[in-house]
Amino acid sequence: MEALPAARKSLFVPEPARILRKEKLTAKETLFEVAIDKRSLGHKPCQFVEVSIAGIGEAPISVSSSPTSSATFDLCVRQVGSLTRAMHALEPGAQIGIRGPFGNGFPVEKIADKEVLFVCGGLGLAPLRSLILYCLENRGSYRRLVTLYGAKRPAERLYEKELLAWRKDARMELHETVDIAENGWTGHVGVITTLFDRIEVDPLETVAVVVGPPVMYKFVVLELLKRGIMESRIFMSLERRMRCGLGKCGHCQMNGIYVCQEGPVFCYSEVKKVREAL
Amino acid sequence: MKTLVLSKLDVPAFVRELQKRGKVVGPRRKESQFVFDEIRDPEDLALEYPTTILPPVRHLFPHQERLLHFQRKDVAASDEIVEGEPLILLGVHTCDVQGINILDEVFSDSPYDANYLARRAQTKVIALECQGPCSQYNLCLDKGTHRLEGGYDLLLIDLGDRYFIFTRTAAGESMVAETAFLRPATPVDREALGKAREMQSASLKPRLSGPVNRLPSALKEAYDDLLWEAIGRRCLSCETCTMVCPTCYCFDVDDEVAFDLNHGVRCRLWDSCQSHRFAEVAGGENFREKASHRQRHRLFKKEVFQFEKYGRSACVGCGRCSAQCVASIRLTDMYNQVLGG
Ligand SMILES: Cc1cc2nc3c(=O)[nH]c(=O)nc-3n(C[C@H](O)[C@H](O)[C@H](O)COP(=O)(O)OP(=O)(O)OC[C@H]3O[C@@H](n4cnc5c(N)ncnc54)[C@H](O)[C@@H]3O)c2cc1C
Ligand code: SF4
Ligand code: SF4
Ligand code: FES
Repeated sequence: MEALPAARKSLFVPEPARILRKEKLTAKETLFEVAIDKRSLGHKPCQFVEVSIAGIGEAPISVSSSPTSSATFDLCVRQVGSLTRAMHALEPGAQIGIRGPFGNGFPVEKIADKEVLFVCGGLGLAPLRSLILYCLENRGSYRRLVTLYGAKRPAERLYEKELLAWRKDARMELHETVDIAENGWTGHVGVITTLFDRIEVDPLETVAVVVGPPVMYKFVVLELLKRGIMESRIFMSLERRMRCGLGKCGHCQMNGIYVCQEGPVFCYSEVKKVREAL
Repeated sequence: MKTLVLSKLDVPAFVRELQKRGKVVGPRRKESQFVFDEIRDPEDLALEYPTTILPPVRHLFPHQERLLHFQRKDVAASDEIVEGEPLILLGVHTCDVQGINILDEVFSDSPYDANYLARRAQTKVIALECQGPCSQYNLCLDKGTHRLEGGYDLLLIDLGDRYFIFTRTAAGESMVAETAFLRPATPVDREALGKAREMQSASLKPRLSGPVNRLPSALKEAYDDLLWEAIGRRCLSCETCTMVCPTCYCFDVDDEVAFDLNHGVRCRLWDSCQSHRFAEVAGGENFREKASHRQRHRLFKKEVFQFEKYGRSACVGCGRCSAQCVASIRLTDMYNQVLGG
């Protein structure tokens, strides 16, 4: 078959990487600082990698650190199943496999000179942190940075120390809420959309970036549209189960779109007419 | 391109010639049905066969394929497994050749799938035109897959006591280069070929109630039709329709650990968009919860999504999904419902 490309190296082989540091964030989530043995990851904000543990399998995990800290990268992992449980059992020095980064990443050029509103629900802060940190590092390029973060319970808030620092950081506004107030929580209580009453946005200058569980999107998008933010300025990272990351296995397919390749970041105006997307 | 003739009496000798070049896989009888399997004894070859249960492309995209060897303690020692062996797929019906062409396109689309391409690079395809309908569910006339423009090395057409052979590629030419029992086609053979093809055209019936090129738009219009709900109520989500399809290629990845608990292989296995968990995401949310959603997705993937991406349908009209469905759900009925008429 002359017309077909010659077979190259298999894209299923993970690269060896090492866990350098491990930090417990909550009862279920742990932060892993990871370095690939032979290169830097070179990711864009909101891209993901396939983490591999031989004998267990692979799972897609978002890169949680800024792309500019190039030597190592962070993964914030919730323990839910076989791979994530095995990963939580690993100690610094242990080896894992990495494939990627995959996905389109966040189009940072589209938010330059804008007011940027980050809306993150639960584990959504893990991928969004890569973009938030990037924006803080390049603070001069944005008019304003606002973050809305909602967690189920106070004890489930990720990056607690960082949230505390952000709260004091004049470079950004942070508003937090929890669904259920516990452990002396004195802050806001309610679903994430209730935070919108606390902020003023300039609809013509605002770009919103939304990451959270699937149920959250419709409600948040509605709030954003209500405030006059343009559909083409609402970005969201959509989650689908992913096996290959290569646009072949079909798991991540959303109509004709392969989320692993063309996503996970989409603009609302792109996907609002795509059935089974939201 | 050469045109040659092979007497049916010489088919065994031809198979023995081919065996010198690699593993020959062709149709053979298995109980009351036919399967594509290795032909060791040329007598086992059954070139006059109806549709096989599984399509021959499954020899290029096997049910379980090893992707890499791993050592649990050392990722650096993971070795890729890119397998392949000289393989000749013999007697492939034209619709199934088109099925191979479609997987070629999908797996050579960027990023390349080295595992598929390594097998494919060592495979030669000898196509065979059906003389008439090979199943009561085939749509090859509507789909235009009863004749082929390419995608094979040799093409055989049955002329009764002999096969007319077209060579298509250099590899095809080389397969027939030193075979004393093949003779060049004569005007008499060419006339017989014309007659055979006329008979074929006359015997194939269109099964669709409207033009096939209306399927993408007709399906899109029918997205919210009750039809899907009706089909979903009958469908058992047994996954058979996707397992037997020559153009289905979705897969899962799974690790198998050896008894020493240190070594193992990572494999890919066929998966099916008809399984309930296929479109489930973290947290248990499922974007295609109901069988009706999944059947609609299957047809849209064949006729709409691949059409938008590659400008062609991904259903070659072999009829296997209809023939094998335990709930008697027929693709032609679904197509005709959306086409109306
Ligand atoms: C692009 C992308 C980025 C992702 N980024 C991250 C990330 O940064 N951090 C992270 O922890 N996860 C992330 N995930 C989710 C992660 O890939 C899944 O949780 C993964 O399946 C875990 O693998 P496992 O083998 O441990 O679980 P499995 O053994 O596959 O799952 C075990 C069980 O838990 C359920 N389950 C899986 N995930 C969740 C969940 N999140 N919440 C509740 N139940 C669940 C499953 O439905 C299943 O029943 C991401 C997923 C995608 C597609
Ligand atoms: S073979 Fe029939 S019953 Fe089984 S999943 Fe397909 S359509 Fe449903
Ligand atoms: S969808 Fe059915 S008829 Fe079409 S190629 Fe697949 S099995 Fe054959
Ligand atoms: S993860 Fe396999 S196609 Fe996207």
